[in-house]
Amino acid sequence: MKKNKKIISTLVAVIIIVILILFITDKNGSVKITTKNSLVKVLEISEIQSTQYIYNGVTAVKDNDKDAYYVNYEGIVTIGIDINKIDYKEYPEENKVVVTLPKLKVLDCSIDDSSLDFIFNDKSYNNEKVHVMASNAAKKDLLEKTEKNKELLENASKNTKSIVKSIIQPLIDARGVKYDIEFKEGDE
Amino acid sequence: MKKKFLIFIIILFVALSTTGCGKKQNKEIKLDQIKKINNLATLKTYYHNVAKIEKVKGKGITHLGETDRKYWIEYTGIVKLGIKTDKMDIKVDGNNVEILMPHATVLSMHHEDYDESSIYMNKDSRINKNQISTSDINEAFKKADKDMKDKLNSNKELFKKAEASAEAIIENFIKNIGKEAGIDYNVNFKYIN
Repeated sequence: MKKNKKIISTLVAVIIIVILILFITDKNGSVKITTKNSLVKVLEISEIQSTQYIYNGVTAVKDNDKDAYYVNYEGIVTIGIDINKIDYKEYPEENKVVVTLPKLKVLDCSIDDSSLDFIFNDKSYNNEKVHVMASNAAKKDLLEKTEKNKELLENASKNTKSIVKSIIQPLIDARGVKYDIEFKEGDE
Repeated sequence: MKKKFLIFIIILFVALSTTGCGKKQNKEIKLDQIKKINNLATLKTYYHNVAKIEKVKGKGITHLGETDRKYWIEYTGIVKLGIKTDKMDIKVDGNNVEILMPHATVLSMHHEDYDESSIYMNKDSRINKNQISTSDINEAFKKADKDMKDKLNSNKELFKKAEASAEAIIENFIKNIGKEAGIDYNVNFKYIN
């Protein structure tokens, strides 16, 4: 009987020690990140980038009309025009030039993927695929907010005109003529 | 003596708790901002990126039954190169136009939309999850972007191509204005640092 008690107490002591060691050495696994990249293609473009909208926003990602989770993101939208689509006409009898600018376009919309933060209403969404899906949702949200932001579009229009004027004005001035520069918005 | 020591401990405790020592600081939230920029983007480059995360199983009692995890993300990164035109100066003398221009630089970086097939990973343990956290994924994207930018910066040919393209675009624009005014402009470029 005494012998049994001794064995049990030794066993309990060993278990306690093992548990203690497991607690003491408790440590998350290390994470190693590696990346590989390769250049796929190069395209020539001709964009005048005049305005950036830096946005820190929150969007709700829905599932069956319920907010499954919220994403906080930081993103940047770049707005501008294609310089090759600018049309220039002179009207010497009216002392003016008319510059027709193409319609403003969103040239880039980028989400800083390292900025994403989450609140999960439905915990099943807290999985390893949520990040990329949330990034797409954030981009969609930012583009919608850009389209609705009248102040941003007004600023972009003003900035674009100012950039185009800074190239045209020295050419007009050097000719010793005084032409007003009138801007029009084209169809494209 | 004991009393003095006790008072000292209480003061220290109050001081530490009021200064928020050890508390996690709230992340500073940037305000929305509309910013004027002045760029001429002339080259759009596409990169195929793969970011790999390897998370080994943890040690200790709370990590029993975990498994090593592998998580890969495949996506297309887009980098635009061009000229910061706010640093550009135009000098006109008769029909000679001299453009003082900065060298080409990276103007923006972003990525194409992801889809679920962008992600590859092995199965997690059923007993004890060893989940790749969103902060691990954040770090992977940060590293992938940095590596892509480093690779691009070492490719001097691309920057030369972006400059040549900028010269062609600006020259064409000025010549078109000249055509309307009946002037055949000679356009020359000089680079500034």
